[in-house]
Amino acid sequence: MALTLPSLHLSARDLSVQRGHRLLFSGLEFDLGPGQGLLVTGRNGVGKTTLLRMVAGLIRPAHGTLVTRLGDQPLPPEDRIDHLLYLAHRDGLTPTRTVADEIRFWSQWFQGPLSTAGTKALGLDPLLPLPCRVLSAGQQRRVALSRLWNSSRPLWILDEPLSPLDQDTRALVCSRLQKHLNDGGSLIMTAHDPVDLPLIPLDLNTVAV
Amino acid sequence: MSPLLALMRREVALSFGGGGGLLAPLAFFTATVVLAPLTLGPDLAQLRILAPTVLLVGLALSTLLGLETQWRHDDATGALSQLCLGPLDLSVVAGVKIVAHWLAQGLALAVITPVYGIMLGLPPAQSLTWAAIVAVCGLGFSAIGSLAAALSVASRRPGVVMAILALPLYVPLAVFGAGVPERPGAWGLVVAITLMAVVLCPLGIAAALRALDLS
Repeated sequence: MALTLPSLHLSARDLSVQRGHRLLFSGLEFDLGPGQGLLVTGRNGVGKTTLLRMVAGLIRPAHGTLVTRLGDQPLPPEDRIDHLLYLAHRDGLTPTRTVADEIRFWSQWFQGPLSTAGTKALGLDPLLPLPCRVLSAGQQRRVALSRLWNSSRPLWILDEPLSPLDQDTRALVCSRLQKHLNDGGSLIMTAHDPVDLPLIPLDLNTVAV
Repeated sequence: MSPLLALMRREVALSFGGGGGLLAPLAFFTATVVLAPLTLGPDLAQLRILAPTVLLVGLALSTLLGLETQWRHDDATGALSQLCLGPLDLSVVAGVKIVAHWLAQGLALAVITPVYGIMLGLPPAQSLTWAAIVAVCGLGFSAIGSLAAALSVASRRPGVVMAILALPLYVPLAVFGAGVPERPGAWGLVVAITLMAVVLCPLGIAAALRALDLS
């Protein structure tokens, strides 16, 4: 099988995360290599989103290390953001702007190829001229997820990507995630429902403080 | 299109269109200029003395008006996280936001200033000078106001916090800006303060937003 994405390894050692003055979890360890996906689970408020934001580089660990290697070379933490795609719980869409404006802007911002693969796959064409504020939660998530079809970054960090989606769209997104793994990409995601993908479970309840 | 240009286009469009856009600060500026002569009475000499005050106070407050939501909206929608993960440093994003806000709103106030100057009894010969003062001070006010907006993002009453933070920092620009027609030497100071604000405020904004750990 041909791996088309650069190989990226991520390893966490004795990781602790603090939110304000509160320690959320400590002693977290995991390894993630090309073609592997991590399914982060745990009760509400245990720190799933915080962990994802930390892997994305938006917050620093209180303790421990998070080491990234790209190929054989170690990657400085501040350079990790150039190789990852992070889709948060909030979709990042400005309510007053049209779907077409938002899709164009974010693809230019992340210097991705300007292709219509995502809009086609997710059936977003009829929504393009509409302002984002009139979309349903599921439609907004589809707009955000369309970035997956235009991304060649190896590490995907997805915060409950499937939650507001209908069954057909979930299957569609899961098949895209499977293709990403087949291409040698890696994936960290959270979900509360079972996900039809070969993911390594990571239960944060076991390391929660 | 480069990420920098794309961001500039987005920010100008947001400043121009979203949330009242250009009209809100313009209406505020106009209201100040129209109300001042009405409250002062028919003494033109007195109005002429107070005209610089009216123009600069109007400019300072109407600039603040458009900035309140500048960072708060992007934080609320989650766009801020994505802007943090882009190819440009957060301080560059802040610089682009400041310039875009000024292009969309501050420049419009500068363009209308010669007309308002005449309404306030200023000599027509000073019209262009006043347009330039409003343009340069407007950029400085945008930068300082944007820093105040970033610092107040997490506040429950951002408008109040923002005004308290921004107004003392507005003082030097207001003082020297109002003095330019009398003492052209003040130009150097006005330009220097504005440039300093445009360079330093983005660094402060980036630090403030990172420290807040917004989601």
